[in-house]
Amino acid sequence: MNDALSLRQVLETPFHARTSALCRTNHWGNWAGYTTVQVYEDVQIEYFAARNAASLFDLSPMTKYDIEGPGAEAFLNRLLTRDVRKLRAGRVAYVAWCDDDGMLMDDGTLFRFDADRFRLCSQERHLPWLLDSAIGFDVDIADVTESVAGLSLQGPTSCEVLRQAGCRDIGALRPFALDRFEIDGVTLVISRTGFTGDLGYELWLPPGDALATWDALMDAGPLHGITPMGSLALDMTRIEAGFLQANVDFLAGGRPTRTGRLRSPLELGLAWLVDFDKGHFNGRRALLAERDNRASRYRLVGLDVDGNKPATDAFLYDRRGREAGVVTSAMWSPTCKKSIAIASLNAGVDVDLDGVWADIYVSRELRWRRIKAPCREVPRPFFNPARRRATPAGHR
Amino acid sequence: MSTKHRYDAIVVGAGHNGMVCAYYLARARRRVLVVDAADAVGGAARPVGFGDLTVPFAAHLDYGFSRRVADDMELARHGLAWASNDIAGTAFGENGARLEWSLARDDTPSPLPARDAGRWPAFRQRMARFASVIEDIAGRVPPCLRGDGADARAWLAIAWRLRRLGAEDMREFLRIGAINIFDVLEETFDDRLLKGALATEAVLGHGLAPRSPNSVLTFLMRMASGGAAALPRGGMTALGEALRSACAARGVEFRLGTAVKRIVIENDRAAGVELDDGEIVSSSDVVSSADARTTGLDLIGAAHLDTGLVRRLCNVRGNGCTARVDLLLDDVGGLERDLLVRRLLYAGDMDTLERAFNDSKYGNVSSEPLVELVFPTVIDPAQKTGRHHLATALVQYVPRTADDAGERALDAARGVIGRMLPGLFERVVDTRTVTPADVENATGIHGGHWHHAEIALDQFFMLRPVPSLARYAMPVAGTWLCGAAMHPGGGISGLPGRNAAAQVIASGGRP
Ligand SMILES: Cc1cc2nc3c(=O)[nH]c(=O)nc-3n(C[C@H](O)[C@H](O)[C@H](O)COP(=O)(O)OP(=O)(O)OC[C@H]3O[C@@H](n4cnc5c(N)ncnc54)[C@H](O)[C@@H]3O)c2cc1C
Repeated sequence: MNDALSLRQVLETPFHARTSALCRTNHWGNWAGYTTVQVYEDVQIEYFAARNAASLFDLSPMTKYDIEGPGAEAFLNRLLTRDVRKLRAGRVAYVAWCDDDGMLMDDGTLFRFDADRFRLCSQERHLPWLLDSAIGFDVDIADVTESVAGLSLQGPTSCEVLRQAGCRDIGALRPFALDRFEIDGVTLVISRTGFTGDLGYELWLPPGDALATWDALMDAGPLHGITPMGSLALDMTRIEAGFLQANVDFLAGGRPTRTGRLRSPLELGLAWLVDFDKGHFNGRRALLAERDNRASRYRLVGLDVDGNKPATDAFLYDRRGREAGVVTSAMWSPTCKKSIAIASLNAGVDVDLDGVWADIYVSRELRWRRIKAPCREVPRPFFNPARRRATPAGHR
Repeated sequence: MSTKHRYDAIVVGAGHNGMVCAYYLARARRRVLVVDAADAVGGAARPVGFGDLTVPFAAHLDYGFSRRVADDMELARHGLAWASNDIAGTAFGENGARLEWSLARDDTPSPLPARDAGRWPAFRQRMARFASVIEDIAGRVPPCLRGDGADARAWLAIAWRLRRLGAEDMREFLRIGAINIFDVLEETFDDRLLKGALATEAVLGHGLAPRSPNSVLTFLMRMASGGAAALPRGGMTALGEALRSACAARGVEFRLGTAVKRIVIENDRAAGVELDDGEIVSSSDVVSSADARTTGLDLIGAAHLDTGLVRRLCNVRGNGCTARVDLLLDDVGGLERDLLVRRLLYAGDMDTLERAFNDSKYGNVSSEPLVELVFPTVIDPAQKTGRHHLATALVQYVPRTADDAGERALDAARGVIGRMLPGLFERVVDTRTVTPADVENATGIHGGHWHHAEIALDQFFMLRPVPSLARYAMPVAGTWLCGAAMHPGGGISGLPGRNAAAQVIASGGRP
């Protein structure tokens, strides 16, 4: 191997030849060891493509573990907080997992291919934890991050793009379902999943077929507004969708060195993912104690913030000036036409009763102004179109 | 206590800890069943046949069974008596050098150079003061760090014991706790055999050499349990019989020759055990004297435990390194009679021990091992139930994974013992070896370690065997640990069993 390559610390994804040619801003970021496009051309254009047409996002750096064997279901049921027995073959579930103290390690998606074969996708790497968790279970775990390329095609016209590309029956695929399809002679797995909270699909394929598949989608899409999207625009859509981002809205387990920095799923609004009735799982006893003793320290909420200034990183206070929490993700939502935020409130705070407001600092050409913006608690997702759930899908 | 279950508590394992625990539970009016895979009680000291004799499977001497437990259980009434309550020691060095000593007595070891003899009383007294702190700790259930009033009082009591040592002793205690027995002995004494003999007391049963960290703690543990080496009349198996009898008198039931396959768990609570023939016996509590790892992974199952705990259990250090060699003798005539009633140690000097340990670090049986040799049938004629005499030896270091460990241990012992008692091997008619792997197979204790888990500061007291389990409770409600892997550790003392019973009783049975 040539020296410059072997010394390189950041890898390229299987789509690099295409993404680098299209990345006019030359704005890159390091995602789990891969260099990935932050912005191709313009964040707003990419964001609106996702909301009004179709966006194409290179998902390859997503960490992927294949989990197989007669004990795979039991292994996952002990690892994850949801009841994996209820996940049928050909389905995908949003999942979370905890450490012994009931603190969230990470969230991700679990694909069930058949009775004994699963794939777990997450943002962070967790192989040591998975291998430790496999002790006592008849299961094989393989990190397939490098051998599976991923693309995310999202937006109201995404279904139509896939149909044009040759996936004739794609409209019948239900939300959170997966199936095999063919594009230009390439067989690939498509799941109706995504991080944008809209109609959309994720495509999983061998790296060797990556460029051909990218080209096939781009060729099929012009009339449907297909646009490559970078990570910054994706982040806007995920906030509107109300999804949590590891190491932004919570710290992934195994990372912090200071005690007390981790959060439990109950503190992160993920109680709906925790199935106390399914038998034992990692962290169950700690979570049960937290629930029964009402010992949660925080509560994660969606906020509608007055005004149009994003409450990024803002402290929250109550009407008597006491600290009430912090904003972990915030934006001006072009689609909701609101300033929205995901916030971590201290236990016991009630946004409306306590008169919670965000302390926002804005600079107008370096003249700083402080805005005390009143907040209202609103349900997440902030943006939740019916087309996300409709089957048959698609924009005809 | 509920009437839903057949028993209030099932104790897995009829080793001495299992029986002690069962006794205290029964005394607190629990209906108790003890189940053991073996056909006889006693655990690692249970009777096995050897020629025309009955010998304990592994443990051959009593280094300090808790007097408190013996009194509580009225073991004397149940037949326990002593052939010797302190077998004095003779250590052998190079070129025929010998030294006589006993840690349990004030007598100065002899022969010693004048300077060492002068230093002995102060050394022994200071070590005894330190050991009394350890003794106090050994008898306690480790308190919680984040506990309530009772825990805070326990911490205060321990702090007070330390404080009472006085400033100078306390400084010395903290200083030597952090070094090793080699350095402590080296700076105190000159006589190589004395240092070798004392270092042997620190490392026997442990995967440690004199220069290993924690060897001061193990030395103090040895002194804390009295420092004696005693022999019950009838041998160590008689202790097991007395324990069984005391238990039976309290209504404890026994089921021998049946292994527990798993602990039955319902709704995250113990509900009984499944025996190896598939029968399920119900009980509200299950107390296991198997080591924590075996109990967690094999009896409870990883599916009921959290990953972090499973990982810690897999990393508990507990690879056995002590083997036993028994010699069946047609006669002891012609041997040095006075030696046969003593506890004979081949320690050489501290470097001999260190080299012996080095072999085992790389998976080899020591070629010049530490040997502790006694003649039970001479010390206690009641044990001579047939024509033959018996010599039993503990041989260290024999790693669990060594090939042909039994034969090699026997060969190495033959060389060393031949130097101690020339001519002994000519009288041997049969031999019997027990390696750590044999201990593991026969008792189900992972690693076959004397203490089920190495004794070291990081596996001691509130960190034993792993921090979250130090209070004898497994995370599944109603499942408990009472074996040597628990504080204060192994050696036939009865203390882990007693402490565990106190915790089970304090939990009040079913919540
Ligand atoms: C070679 C050797 C020599 C030793 N010599 C001495 C000595 O001279 N003096 C001394 O004081 N100490 C000695 N020890 C240490 C001593 O034997 C142990 O510390 C002591 O036996 C521990 O007692 P216990 O009751 O905790 O466990 P054990 O004595 O190990 O008993 C555990 C019992 O549990 C049973 N069990 C385990 N799993 C199951 C299951 N699933 N179902 C049913 N039953 C089960 C086993 O059959 C066993 O009977 C020696 C150890 C070794 C290895």
